[in-house]
Amino acid sequence: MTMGFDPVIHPLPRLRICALLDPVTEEEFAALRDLLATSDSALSKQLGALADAGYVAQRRAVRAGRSRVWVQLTPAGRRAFRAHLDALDDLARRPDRA
Amino acid sequence: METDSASARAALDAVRETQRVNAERLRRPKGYWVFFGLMLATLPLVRYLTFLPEVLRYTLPAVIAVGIALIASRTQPTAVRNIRMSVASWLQLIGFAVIVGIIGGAAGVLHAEEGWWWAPLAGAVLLFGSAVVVGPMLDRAWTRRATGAAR
Repeated sequence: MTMGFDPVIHPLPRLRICALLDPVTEEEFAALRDLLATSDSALSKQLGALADAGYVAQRRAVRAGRSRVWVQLTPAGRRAFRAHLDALDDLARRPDRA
Repeated sequence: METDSASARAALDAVRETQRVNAERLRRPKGYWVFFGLMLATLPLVRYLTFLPEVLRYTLPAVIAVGIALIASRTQPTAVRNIRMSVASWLQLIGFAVIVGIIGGAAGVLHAEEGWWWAPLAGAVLLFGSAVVVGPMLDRAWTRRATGAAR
C-alpha cells in the first residue's frame, strides 16, 4: 500500500466530501447534500464514517430560526486528505500493470 | 481487472472535477465587485465635501460606504465567507489594499497641494476600475488556490 493512502477517505463520495470541505472552514450539511446530489441519509452515512475516523466534525447551529448542521474537516482530516491525494498522484504516475 | 494506477487516475479525476465545481461556486458574482468598487470610489470623493459641516463631511461618506458594503456582502454566496485564505492570498489582498491606499492618498494630496480639482474624481474612477477588473482576478486566484483547482 502506498504511504498516505487512506482507505477511509478513498471511496469516491468521501473523497468528494473532503474536496468540498478542504477549502472552507465549514460547510452546511444541506449545501453538501445539494452539491453532491445525494440524499440526507447517504450523506450522513459517509460523514459518519469520516467522523468515526476523526476526519470531520459536525455542529448544530440555529440561524434565522432554523436549525442547521455545519460540517468541517478536522486538522487530521485535512492532513489525511492531502496525504491521500499525494498517494493517488503517486499511484497514477506508475505504469499500468494489466 | 482494473489496475491501481487506472483507479487512482479515476479517483483523481473525480476530485479535480469536484474542486473545479467548488472553485466556481466559491467565486463572488460580478455585482459584488461593482458594489465594492463603488464603496472604494467614495473614499477620494470626500475631498469634494468641503462645503458640508465637518461632522457630516466625514460621517456621510462612511455611512454611504458602510451601506454599499452591506449591499455588497448580501450579493456574495454564504460559502465565500468561509474560504480558508492562504498566506499568498493574504499577501495579494494586502498588496491590493496598499495600491488602493496609494491611489486614494495621491488623489487627496494632488487635490490639496496642487489644486487639481479633478484628482479625486480620477482617483475614484481608478479605484472603481481596479476593483471591477482586479477584484475578480484576485478572487479567481484565491478560489483556485483554496480549492486545489490550480494544482
